[in-house]
Amino acid sequence: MSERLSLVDLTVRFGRTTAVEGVNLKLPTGVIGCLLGPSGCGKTSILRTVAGFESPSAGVVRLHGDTVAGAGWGHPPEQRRVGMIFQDLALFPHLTVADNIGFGLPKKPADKRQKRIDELLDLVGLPGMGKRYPHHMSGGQQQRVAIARALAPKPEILLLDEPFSSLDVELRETLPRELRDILREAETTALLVTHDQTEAFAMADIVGVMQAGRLHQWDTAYNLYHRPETPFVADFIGQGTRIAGTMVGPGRVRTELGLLEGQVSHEYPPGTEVDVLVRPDDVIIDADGMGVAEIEERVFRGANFLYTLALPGGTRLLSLAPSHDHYAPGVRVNLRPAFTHLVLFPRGGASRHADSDED
Amino acid sequence: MAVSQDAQPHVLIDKPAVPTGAGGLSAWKGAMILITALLAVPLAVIVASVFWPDKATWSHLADTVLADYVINSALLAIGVGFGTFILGTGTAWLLSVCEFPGRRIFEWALLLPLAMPAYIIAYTYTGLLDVAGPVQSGLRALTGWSVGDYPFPEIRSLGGAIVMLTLVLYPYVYMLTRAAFLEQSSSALNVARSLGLGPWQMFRRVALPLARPSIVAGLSLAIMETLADYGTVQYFGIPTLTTGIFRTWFGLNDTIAAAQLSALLLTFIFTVIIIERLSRRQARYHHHGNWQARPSFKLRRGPAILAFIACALPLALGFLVPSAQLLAWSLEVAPTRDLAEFAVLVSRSVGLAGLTAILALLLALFLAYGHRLMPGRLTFSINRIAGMGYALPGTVIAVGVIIPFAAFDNTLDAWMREQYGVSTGLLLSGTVAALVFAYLVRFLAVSLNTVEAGLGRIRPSMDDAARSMGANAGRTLWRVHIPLIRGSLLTAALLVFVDVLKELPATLVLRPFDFNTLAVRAFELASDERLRDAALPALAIVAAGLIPVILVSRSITRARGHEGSISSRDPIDE
Repeated sequence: MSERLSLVDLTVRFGRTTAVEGVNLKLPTGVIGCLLGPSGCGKTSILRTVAGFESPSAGVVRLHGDTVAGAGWGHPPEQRRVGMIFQDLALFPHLTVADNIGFGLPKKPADKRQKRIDELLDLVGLPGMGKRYPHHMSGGQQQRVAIARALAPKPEILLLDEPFSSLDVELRETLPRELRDILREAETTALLVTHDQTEAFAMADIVGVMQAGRLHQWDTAYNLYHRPETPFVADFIGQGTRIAGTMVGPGRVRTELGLLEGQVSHEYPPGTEVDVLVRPDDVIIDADGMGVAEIEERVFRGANFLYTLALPGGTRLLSLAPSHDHYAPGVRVNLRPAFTHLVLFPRGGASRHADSDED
Repeated sequence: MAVSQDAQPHVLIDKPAVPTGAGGLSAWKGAMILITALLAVPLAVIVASVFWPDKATWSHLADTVLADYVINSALLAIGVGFGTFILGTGTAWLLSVCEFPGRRIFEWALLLPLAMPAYIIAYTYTGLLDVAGPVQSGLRALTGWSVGDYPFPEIRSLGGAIVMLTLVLYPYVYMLTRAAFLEQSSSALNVARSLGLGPWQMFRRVALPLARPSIVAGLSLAIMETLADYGTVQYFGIPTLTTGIFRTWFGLNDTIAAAQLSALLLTFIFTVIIIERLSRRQARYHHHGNWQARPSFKLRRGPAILAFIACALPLALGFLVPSAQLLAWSLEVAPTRDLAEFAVLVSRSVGLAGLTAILALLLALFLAYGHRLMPGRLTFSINRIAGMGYALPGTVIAVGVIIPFAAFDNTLDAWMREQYGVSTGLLLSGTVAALVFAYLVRFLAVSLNTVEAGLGRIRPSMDDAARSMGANAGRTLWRVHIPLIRGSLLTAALLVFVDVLKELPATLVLRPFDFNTLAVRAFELASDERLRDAALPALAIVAAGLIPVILVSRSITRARGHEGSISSRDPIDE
């Protein structure tokens, strides 16, 4: 697969603030990628650097194999063939929907231009609405116009900056999937930026978790959840806690829950102090007997309960249990580990490596 | 994701390999610096004059008339400040919290005196209150007295000038103070009311202190205009700094002393500006988004009549009476005069004002968009300096323009004669070019502020969207910004147009020989005591002056329409 976008050691600084630091990633053609992270993590700066609104302080941006920006320079945005969807959509209020979509198309030949506009209106499900003005449309329709406008000049890559943040809750449920289908149909390569995991997982084939300017992991959603490479990713994606453990042999860790065995994410020499990630489905509450763990809190989730459990040493764990057998807070229960694999981090929380693009 | 937004919305792309962008942008910035440098020349000349050798004129002035100049200018400023404060804040308060007949009309009509240039109202009242004028004749007819039997105030005095200037300048205070009253949190006023304060106490103890920054801003505008006034004080024969500059220059023929007097006048003006800035920094009260019902006092009978009179008087004296008199004179004179001369005046004035308005608009667009493309301290400062000329009185700009232009002409002439034996004479001085340049120095700020405000309402993502779809900076301006701000552009051009039409002192000095405009002709005729003949050009100026007043009052009416609805989705600025 050819790489449509690649970032090599990308660093972006604004004055003394470093917004993006040493980010590496590759986005293959036709794939939808997503940068996910809390606000201020640098994800929008990456997007704006790819688009050409900012220049890298160090590193390189490649689009379709061409280097379009490097330390302190860059092709201007109008020469990059990059489509962008803005947080506020930025539709031109003085132009009709058709003229908005046609903004990036050559004026002539007029019939070809019109044909492309109609094509896009069909693609986004707004046929025959070209003569309207954006402010006469609903939020979801405006969103579609913005998508059509960005796709019209057939960009190398489509960049989406928090595209759903201005929509109401209902649309935020349905539109990401619709948008994904539109992008698939147009065979678009896209990079999305969001702080919302649901959006990220609904839209993207590959997701990068960012924090404080660094890309922690660039991977599939499954791997982010089950094989997080840094404690931050483990905490940010899904629920879970970490408990202390000591390596006693290959694939064997001694913890408060007993000796855990399984395929480990990373081997450490025996005696190494580690943290073990415990997801709510990694421990099963064992009803019988006066157990070691005390039920601290339970939250009804419909099909199941989410329990917060306290171990004698004070460590807290989460556990999911079917909602038909339930335990009141204060009850002591036994726990049975049910790990399929062990995610280990060296004690102290320092990440093993900040980003991974070696595969 | 605020990391990038404010710090540096756009990149400066400067790599030689890049075909467009870098070269164009640095050329753009260079042109911005050049334009601003040129526009700053008059101010620089005035400031530099302080260090030039004195030809003994200065000490002569200091021994004789300087004290008069300074005292009269100061008294005038204080008097007008006091008068505009009373009229401006009083009417603004009445119209903000009281209900009485005529209120809706007064809201915009109180701005009308802004259309009346001070020198025009001054000579109109001189005619009205003259011994032979309608007021005194009427008084004599009524009482049977004869001239000299009764005391009558002399309008051609310092007090008269204060009244004249107050009548046409109070709208600045009214406009800004009323806006401040309307923005004030109505809950603060409601609390005051629930604590038992009546309208007068509420005004003094809550509304006035809260509106102070706006009141000071309005007062400083009025005082700056007062200090800059030439026509009124000249017509009334009051020696002030502005008339002093003229006398020193044309009477004593000493340009350097005139420039030094200008510097003194500028010191006064910048003092006013600094005071205004300081008072603004100390207190900034912002109470937005609270559009509860404002306390409203329904006035009955006595109070309602008093409130009506309080609002009607400034409107009548500042606009209706003088306009009616001008109209009467014009109708009296028009049939007996050849209107061809008037037509020439109109075409000259309109041509000059139109040319300046278009140039100012283009420059403003160039500077404002340049700052948008290359945000930063440099372009910001460039644009602030380019707008500084608005603080310079026309008299001062005239001095600041003529000195360097004459120097340029003389140098070029001498050089050409030496080299080629050809005399170039006066190339720039006394041409329309010099006049238009002076207008641009003075009025560019008007169009620049308007264009900047218009551009400021367009979100940066609009630029980014256009750029990402292949439009370069110029095309983005043409296809996105200009269509979106065409209302602001029109306003900017209109405001400059009217300002140029009304401008008197700089035009008097810098116009080409025998080149008359409406303002100059009206003033000359009035100075020759041909008041009736002056009426027609004066009326034309007043009519043009109504344009910006209508623009402003329209926005006031619209603001009233928006009360209650907090925001509109429509991002277009009109």
